[in-house]
Amino acid sequence: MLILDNVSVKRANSLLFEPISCVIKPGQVLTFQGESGLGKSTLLHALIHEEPQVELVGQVTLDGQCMNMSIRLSECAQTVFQDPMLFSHLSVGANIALSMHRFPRSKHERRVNTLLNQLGLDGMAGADPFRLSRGQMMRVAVARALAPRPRVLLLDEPFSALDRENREHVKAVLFGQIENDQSYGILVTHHAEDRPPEGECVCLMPSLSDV
Amino acid sequence: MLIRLVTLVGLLFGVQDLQASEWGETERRARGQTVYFYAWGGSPSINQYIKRWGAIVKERSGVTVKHVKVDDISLAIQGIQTAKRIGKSDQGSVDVLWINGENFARMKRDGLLGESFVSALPSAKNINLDDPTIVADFSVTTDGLEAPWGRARLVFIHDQERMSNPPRSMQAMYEYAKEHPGRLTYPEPPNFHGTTFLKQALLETTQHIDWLSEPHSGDRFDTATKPLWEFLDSLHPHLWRTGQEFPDSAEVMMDLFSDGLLDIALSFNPNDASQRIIDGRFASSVRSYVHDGGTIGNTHFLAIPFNTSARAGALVWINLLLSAEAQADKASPSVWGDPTVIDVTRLSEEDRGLFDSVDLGPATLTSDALGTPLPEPHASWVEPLEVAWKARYFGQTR
Amino acid sequence: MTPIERLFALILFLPIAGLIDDAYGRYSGINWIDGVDRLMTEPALLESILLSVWVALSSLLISLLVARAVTQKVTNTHDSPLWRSLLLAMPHSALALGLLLALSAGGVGWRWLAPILDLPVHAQYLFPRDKWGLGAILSLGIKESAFLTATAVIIAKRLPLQSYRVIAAQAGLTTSECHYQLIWPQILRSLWPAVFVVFVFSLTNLEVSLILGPDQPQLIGVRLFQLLIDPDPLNRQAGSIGLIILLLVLGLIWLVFQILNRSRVSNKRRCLPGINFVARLFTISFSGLICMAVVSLLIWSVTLRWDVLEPLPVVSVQALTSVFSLLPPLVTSLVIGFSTSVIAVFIAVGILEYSVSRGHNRLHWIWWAYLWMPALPLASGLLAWVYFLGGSPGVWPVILGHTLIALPYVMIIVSEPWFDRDVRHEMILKQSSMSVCLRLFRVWVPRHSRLLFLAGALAFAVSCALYTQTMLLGGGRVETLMTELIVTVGSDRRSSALAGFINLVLPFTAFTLALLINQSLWKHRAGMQGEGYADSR
Repeated sequence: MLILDNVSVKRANSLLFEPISCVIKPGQVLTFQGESGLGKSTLLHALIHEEPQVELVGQVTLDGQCMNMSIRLSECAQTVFQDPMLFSHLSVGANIALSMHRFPRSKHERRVNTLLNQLGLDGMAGADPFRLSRGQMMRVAVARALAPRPRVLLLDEPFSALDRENREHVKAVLFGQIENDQSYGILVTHHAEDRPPEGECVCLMPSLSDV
Repeated sequence: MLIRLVTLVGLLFGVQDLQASEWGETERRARGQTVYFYAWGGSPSINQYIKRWGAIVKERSGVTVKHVKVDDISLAIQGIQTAKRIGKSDQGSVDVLWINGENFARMKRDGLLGESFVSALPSAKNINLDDPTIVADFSVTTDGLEAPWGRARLVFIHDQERMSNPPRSMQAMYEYAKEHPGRLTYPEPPNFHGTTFLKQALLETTQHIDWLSEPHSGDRFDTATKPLWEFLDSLHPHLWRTGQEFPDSAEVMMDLFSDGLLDIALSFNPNDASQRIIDGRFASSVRSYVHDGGTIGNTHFLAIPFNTSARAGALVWINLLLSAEAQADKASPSVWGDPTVIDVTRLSEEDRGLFDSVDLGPATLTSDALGTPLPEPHASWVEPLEVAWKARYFGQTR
Repeated sequence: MTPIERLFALILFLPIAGLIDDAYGRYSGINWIDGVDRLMTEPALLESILLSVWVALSSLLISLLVARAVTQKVTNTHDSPLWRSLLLAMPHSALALGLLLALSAGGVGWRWLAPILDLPVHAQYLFPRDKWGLGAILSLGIKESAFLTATAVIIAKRLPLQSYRVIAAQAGLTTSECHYQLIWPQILRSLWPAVFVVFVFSLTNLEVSLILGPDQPQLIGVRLFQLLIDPDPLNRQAGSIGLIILLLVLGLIWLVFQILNRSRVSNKRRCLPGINFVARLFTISFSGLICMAVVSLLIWSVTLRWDVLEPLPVVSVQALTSVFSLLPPLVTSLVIGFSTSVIAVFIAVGILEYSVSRGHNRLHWIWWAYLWMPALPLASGLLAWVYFLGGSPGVWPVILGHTLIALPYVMIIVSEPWFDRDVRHEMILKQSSMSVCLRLFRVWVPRHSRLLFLAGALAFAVSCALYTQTMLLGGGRVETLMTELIVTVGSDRRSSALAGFINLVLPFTAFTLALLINQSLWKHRAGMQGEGYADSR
């Protein structure tokens, strides 16, 4: 279980939105919805990374263990952003293998090829990422997030760059892996149709008072 | 009497043997040492000469010579002075210095030169150590603390095609300058060559030439130099840039001369002009000349600081530089053209031949034509002259 | 300040401490009052100071004008760290020598101009007596324009230029007006560290003053240097006292700069008429002068002699054989330069990454302070450190000294892009659980390879141009092209022209090589071409 208990984000000592509490069951994806600028992405970022001026309040518990504030979820989560965020000096395969650093090298090639096949990028392991289309680059980013089979998948509007056909395909792969691995997903999106069929939705509300 | 003679002869040979064995000991200690030779590096031909003989000494005696090219030797002297000040008497970074004149006087006065060494050098036997220009450097006795290396003589340089009859005295120079304004000048004191020009002018104009070989004193200075200042006052308005500006050095003057902007250049090396003709820097019609009354000559020297860390190597290096071979090579205008300090009459037939075959070059005067050098004034006259010149013409008090 | 920055501040402090020691007369035993007296009796000291201040201020103003004009052109078009590095690397001594050969008595420029302008060819050099230090102003002005332009462009990149242009267009301003009234004042406010560097450099520079500076009196940098190396300890003490006074005055001026900067909230936008024209004039003449300097160096490298009445010199390609005598110093320059660039880039990357990990995103001003320190006291101070650590002058102290001087330049060029990091990239790398070192070598360094190669070339160029440091830290025994140049200037025109020409060409060769190597490394990566790290489309 991934439990968020009165979790919110404070920037310069004022809460960005009302604290939320929810429980995510294994294999499920929680969707955050709300007005733009409220801090949905900021919340996702804060779950991974400490930033100056930004404070994460509340308690996050993963599989019975309280989240450690110094490493946060970075060790067991992977993120897909709205932009592909690939590294231009590495090949497609190397970009994907970046997230598999803690796994032995011998496993990398097979996993990379499996994912490339799943996402319709067969044989592109040695390709130059910047010669791909944007949609293809997004799919490489998704592959990178999926490669180490993470416990938590954070998805920050990952489908906006994809056309309809690719969107459905990628959604199927992403949500499919979450369900198979019984891991957790947190999705931030503006589009209601991107929500997974099962899974709760939490609406972020602006903060009522200054703390 | 006979016993005394025998003892004396025995002693002499003994001493010679002793000297020889001491020298052998020096050579042995020198092997493997590195000698840092601080010498002016502004002339490629001199640098080449030092490089070549450095290789020879390495081959023959195992001494490595590193030529430290300095712009102004006072930097090196400062280092030695600092070392003395803080009491560091070994591990000095300067092993041999190329100096003369005021620098020597200062070093001797401050005790920076260590012990006398010249007479211990085998090559010294070829040098007439009683020669007045070797005994005294700018009238300060050398006491064997510096070894003579070469001779210098103030010569003037002109282009025969531009000037067929050069002025052979200061007065004649003035006449020439009046007729051809802006074509003559001299380097700015306290540059070495500029000061030498001043001294030459002083020697030619003063009424009290005997005072100059003695230490300077305030009252004598004014009287002795009065004609000099009068002469320069009248000369300056006809000089290059109306005497408002002077070239930084003799080399700059040579460049201006070669460019055709000046009619006369000067040098302290009688073979300089020949060397530059061979080099291509001067046209082949260039010649040297001296003044009818003679020009200043002096000697330049090599010294060993008190805190050298390679004394044996330094001695071996200097010894080689004083050898007949090295001196003959040095005297050749195609190499450096610096006149030798060796007294050729003391050499063997074979060695003398080395000097005879030295081709003096198209622009060099024979020693007869050079005549006897005028002696340098006492070292103490130099700074007051420079100060007075600066004050008079540039309003500066130093 | 991070601990590393504190360490570098400490290294900077020792030269000042050593200087105070010397001035006080701790070793010489001379009373400091006597030293002051000696300094006061230095002839024409006031004239020297006034002339130096005049030269420094004029070259500063001219270079600000030029920077103002050129920055507009450069920010309009696509800017690159290549141009910035090239500008920062302008070799001042070789340039000064080239200008000397071009503009002095019998200079190349004059010889060719005189017949055209129908002037007597035996006439004076362009600046009779150079009472106003015009030669130095020109030479320093060129170098400083380049430096200020490079720095201004770096600052400009941080500003939202596009937004300003849009606002200006909507307000009916032309692009020039937009630049001069909106953008440049903002740049100027952040440019003060560079302006101060330029001022200190002009005031205390030795090499340019030696080659091209006025003689009667000489500039203050040369006067103090001559005092500091004088055999007489009293003179040396006077020199140290003079340097301390100079540093104090510089400190005061620094404070004034700060105050002026802070209180510049005024709506007055008075623009002197014709100032843009003057700026353009200077820019064009500077470019012309640079070309003339290079041509002069080239011509004099091969000339045997050249009579003023002849249009062309007597050349001999054999004159180039003197290049063989320049081979050993050239090799030394290459070795020292290469070591300097490798070490400087390595250290810079380490320090910058450390700063990023501590959350800093701006270059600390202490790095500018290294450039504020005049060369001579810094070099003497570094020498004192060498002795303190049990070493002695030689090649390694020279390399370390050069590295310390090149490091600020590298930091300036690399810091902007290095700090400009997308937080999402950081997050991805954090999630990969790679160690900081591994991240550095597998991701950040390759990503910025073009920048690092350019920074290395810049460090190399800076190392080539150093003289005082090489002389003091090498004990006079380390011969580089620059020491050869200074030793032969004035005595052997051909040798020094050749040394100057090679010295000028060497940095540009380094830059070209750096770019070519980088290009071939990444020829299979479309995203690494051009600027590199084009991570978004």
